[in-house]
Order: sequence, then C-alpha cells, then structure tokens
Amino acid sequence: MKRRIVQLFSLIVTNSYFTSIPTASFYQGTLKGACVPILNCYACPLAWGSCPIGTLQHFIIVRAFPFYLIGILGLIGLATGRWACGWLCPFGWFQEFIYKLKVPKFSAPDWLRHMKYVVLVLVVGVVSWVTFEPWFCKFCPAGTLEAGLPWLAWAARGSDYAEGMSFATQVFALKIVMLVALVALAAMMRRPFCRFVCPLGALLGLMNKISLLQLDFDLDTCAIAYAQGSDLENCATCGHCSRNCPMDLKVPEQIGSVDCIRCMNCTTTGSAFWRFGTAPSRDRTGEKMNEPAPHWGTRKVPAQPG
Amino acid sequence: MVRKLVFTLLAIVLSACFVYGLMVEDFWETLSNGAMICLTCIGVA
Repeated sequence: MKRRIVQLFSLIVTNSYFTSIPTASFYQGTLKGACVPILNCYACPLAWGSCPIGTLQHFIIVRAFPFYLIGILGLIGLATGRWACGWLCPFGWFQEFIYKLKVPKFSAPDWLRHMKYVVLVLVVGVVSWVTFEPWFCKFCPAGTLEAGLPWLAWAARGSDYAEGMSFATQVFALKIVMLVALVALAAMMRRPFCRFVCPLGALLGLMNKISLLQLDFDLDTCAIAYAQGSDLENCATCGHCSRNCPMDLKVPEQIGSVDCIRCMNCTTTGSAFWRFGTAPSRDRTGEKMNEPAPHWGTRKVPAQPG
Repeated sequence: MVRKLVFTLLAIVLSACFVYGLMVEDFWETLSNGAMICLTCIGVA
C-alpha cells in the first residue's frame, strides 16, 4: 500500500505540467535538462524531466559521451540500485496494475532476462550509432502510452477526427500493436517489459550488487517458518516471498540479483530485510553471512515454548 | 573490503563524470533534446 502511494506520487510529480492540457503545449523549461531515473517519456505532454534512455540515444547520435547522464544515473544506481524501478517508475506500476486482471498466469523462461542487455547494447547503442535515429524510442511502449496517444488525441482535438488520424504513421500503428501485445503479456506475467526489455533497468541493475541499499535474506527470522515449526525443511515448500515478487525472482536465491527492484514485497514475513551499507551480507544480529542465503535447507527453528 | 573499494572508486568516478558533464554543458544538451519533441519518434507525424 505504501509503495502504491509512492508510485502514485512519483507519477504525479514527474507528469504534472497540467498547463499543457488547455494550451495543447508541452514543457520546455530548465527541468527538461534533468534526467529522471525512470522510463518516463519526455514527449509526454505532462512530463517535466527527460527520459534517460532517450537522452542516451541522443548523445550516441551526436557522437558525444554522456558524462552528465552516466554520472547521475550511476550515482542513483550506486545509492539504491533498481529501487526506482520498484517505487517510482510509472510504467512498472502500469504493468503491475494490468497483472491484477483475472486471466490465466504463466512464467516465462529465466534466460529471457538477458534480453534487456541485448536491447541496451544493440538497439539503444549500435542501432542508434549506425542509423542516427533513436530506434528504441520509435518502438518504446511507454512512449506510445505516455506520448503517442496523447499527441494523437491532441491532433484530433479542434479538428475533425479523421484529420487527426492522418498524422498517425505506419510506425505508430506498429507501436500500438506492440503496446497491445505488451498489455496482453503484462496481464499474464509479471512486469514483462521490466524483466526482459527495459534498458534502463539493465543499467541500474548493474549497481544492485554494490549499491548502498541492499536486501538480505535470513530464514531464521521468517515468521512463516517459525509458525510452521520444524516441518518446514526449506523455503521451497513455502514460496511465500517468491510468490509476492513482482519480478518473479526466487527470493532466497536471487534476492540481491541484478533483477531485484527493491520493492520490499518480500520483507513482509521477516526473512528478507533491507539495510544500508557496503559491508558483506549480515543477518539481523550483525553476524556475517555466507552468500547466497546460508540457511537454505539448514534452518534452525527456534525452540517452541512448552 | 573489495566491495567497499569498488563502491568508493565508482562513487568518485561517477561524481567526476556528473560534475564534468555539467561543466561541458551536457545539461543544456539534454535540455535542448528533451524540449524538442520528435514527432516522428512517437509516430504521429
């Protein structure tokens, strides 16, 4: 619930140029020079800030090293890893919202997670360099939702609808198809765009292992394990944390992985907990832990009273 | 110890990148790019 409020707040803060609605204009002031650490299209009529992936492509196209962008994204990643993906990104929230639809759910193969690095290097990097065009933007479903559709609505407003539609290109039709496909996927699996495609998540995730904000796992403090007593041999028989993970991670094994978005959903049972610092993993008592989770399958259940 | 060292080195390098980026006017480059909507990119023109 707390995360939902923060996500809503983030959505409003990053997209609150409401002057654009009556004037059919968009924000062009100084704040557009600031990159937000989320996939928020800067072509959105309500947006204040710039999309880091759009900016990265721009710098690649103009053949300049993006010192400022790398610095700001790197520092944010170094402080919190992919926390922004879980708590601030409106497109991630949108996918979580769609996932609540009552349709059959399924998991995707784990290797698909590596696809986002291919997107980052090939589509954002190589293709932009070679073609001088920001091709990721042309097919970004977040851009279609946040910018393409509002701009098309604007083009249609004040004139007849057909004239507005004439602005739409074949690229736009393809973007709509991709957005619809993503919405369908998001209804059936958890955050597919964030897990398999998002180049920003790929960049921020690189910092997960060394960021100040860390998540650790200590089964000795799991409320469910305690309640179920010694019958619970290991987490595999429970899976409560993993079922709650919006990134479909196997929480005890993958809690600090590059895909963890620090949403804190897994902390509800007490086995997972967050901490700040660069020191190696420790349990709640401060005792040094071996990685990965040392109590996997060898949990010592606290003695039951009586 | 290694983790702390890597963290410190990265923090220094990234801070330097950020400050240098501001000095060479990357901020204004970002602003000029963000303030110019690419209608062909969003596919409506």
